Amino acid sequence: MTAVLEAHGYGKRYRGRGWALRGLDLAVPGGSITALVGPNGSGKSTLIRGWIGFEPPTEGQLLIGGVDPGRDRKAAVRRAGYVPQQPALYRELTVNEHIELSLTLRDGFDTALARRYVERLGIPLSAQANQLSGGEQAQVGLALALGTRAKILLLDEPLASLDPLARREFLHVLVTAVRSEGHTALLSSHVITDIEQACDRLVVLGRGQTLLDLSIEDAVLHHRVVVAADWDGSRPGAIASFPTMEGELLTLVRVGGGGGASDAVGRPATLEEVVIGHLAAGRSRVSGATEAVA
Amino acid sequence: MIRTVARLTFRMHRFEVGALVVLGGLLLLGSVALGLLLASVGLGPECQPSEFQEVPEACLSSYIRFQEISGSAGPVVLLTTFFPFLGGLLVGGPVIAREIERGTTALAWSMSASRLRWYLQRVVPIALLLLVVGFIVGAAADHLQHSLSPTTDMATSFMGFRYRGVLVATEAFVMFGAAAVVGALFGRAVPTFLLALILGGLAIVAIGKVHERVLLVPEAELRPSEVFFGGPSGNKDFFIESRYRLPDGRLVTYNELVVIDPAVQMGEYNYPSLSLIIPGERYRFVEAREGLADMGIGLVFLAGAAVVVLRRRPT
Repeated sequence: MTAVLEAHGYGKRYRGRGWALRGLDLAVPGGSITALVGPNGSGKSTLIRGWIGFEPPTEGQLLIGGVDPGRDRKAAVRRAGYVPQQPALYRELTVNEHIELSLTLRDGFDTALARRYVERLGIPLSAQANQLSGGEQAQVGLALALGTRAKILLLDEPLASLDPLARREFLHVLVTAVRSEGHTALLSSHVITDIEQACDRLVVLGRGQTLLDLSIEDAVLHHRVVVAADWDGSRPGAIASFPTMEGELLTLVRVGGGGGASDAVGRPATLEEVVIGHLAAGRSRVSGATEAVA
Repeated sequence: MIRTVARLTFRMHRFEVGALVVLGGLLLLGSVALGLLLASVGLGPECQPSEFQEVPEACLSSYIRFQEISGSAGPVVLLTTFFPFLGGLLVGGPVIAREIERGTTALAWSMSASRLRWYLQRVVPIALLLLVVGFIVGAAADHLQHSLSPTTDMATSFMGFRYRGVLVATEAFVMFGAAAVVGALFGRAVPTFLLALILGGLAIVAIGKVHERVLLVPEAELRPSEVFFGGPSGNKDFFIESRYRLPDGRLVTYNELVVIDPAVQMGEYNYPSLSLIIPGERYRFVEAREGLADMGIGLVFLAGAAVVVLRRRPT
């Protein structure tokens, strides 16, 4: 499948804060809903903002729909719909006025479509933005992004401030829209259960690099967990150990493929354990190689 | 589309826009009301005191009434004087800075392929409104000034220069531009107000000084100071600076005179003093030229703000 979001040796350094990302290589296939996971400060927002043209690279290159936002920001913006991390609505305007505003800013903005999404979510068009809850504001942000009819949606932790029901509604709208229109979505999130339900691909960032880049199915299929005490860490496939809530130490093990452990060890890993295991590995990895089993 | 853009922009900045319109409306009402009150006194030219006559006995009561009303014009005149600073900062400060501060640029700049389009949509309606309100306030100040000095032809007098007429609007435009560029750079409203006040204030003073020293001096006239300061022309002509005639006939400025004869610093000099002035008849020309200079500097500031917007990151 053709990649619509690409990073080639992308690096971003902030003055006084060092490198947020460095030497990042990544390809997000078209038509997928890809989850971008990583601890705070791992560079998720930087990467997403880089694709929309907000963060020019310090080194390397990003491509969105084949366009380098560093060279042609206008073309990059035209290709993407973006939902920022913090709700970025104008508190003085109503929901309907946001839709009107979007039309004045973006040629071809589909006001009818945006209104349909907003109404489907039960948000009154006449409501003023500052009267909306954080979840509703995120929903409006999503409706506006969908109204652009952009083929690529970039969602920067829009679920962070939402309650479980609002998260479910948000993901339902997103998944339905992406699947029906054949869009591509990149969703940055910390909430693993939501990712498991909505996404078909998982990218884990840590220490400014890609730690894992797999389909959700493969991520679960190719990892197992074992009790660390029963496992010799030097055996092939061991990724990292991490504690459970009960204090038990587990080790995430890669199975199958070259250099993996037997798929009979331990028990199947949950997606959360896969993510946590790789994040734990990322902490100690100076220049981790991306695991790409699939 | 243009109407929608203007409506949404005014809605986003409704507090500032409302305050600007209210301020302009109050100054207009105040000026008109004071003008009507002053006119109702019916103080004719024959009742005006001059260097040749006191106020005639018959006019005394109406003259006192006129002076009382004139005294109450103080707040209106003062507010009009500060209107360019108040109005320009009030709407110019938040126009870019607040969007960056609140993060709404993340939405707007991801929607609009052209940030310049976004910038013009936000800046132009507000700037036009400010100019319209500024012109109204300036015209009202013109009217009030004429009411306060009914024997003076405002079109040929520098009385109240820079505090009435088109310069009220154009100076407000300079402040607006300064606030926009500072706001785009810093992206925070409160520092923007303070820094823009300094930048815009310096720009307005600099425009005035450059205009006086560079553009007006070559076309200024010299008049004996005692005639200028003592006579009626002092009300209508524009004083630039004094010149001193040396015994050899040369004309020098005070600073040059101090170098030639340091004793003048002690107040001991007897050089004939002349005043370099622009005759009141040149008022409209001088006003128009300074207004154009203000507009030019304001546009330079706004162009600078556009460059910053095109290059900066949203929050």
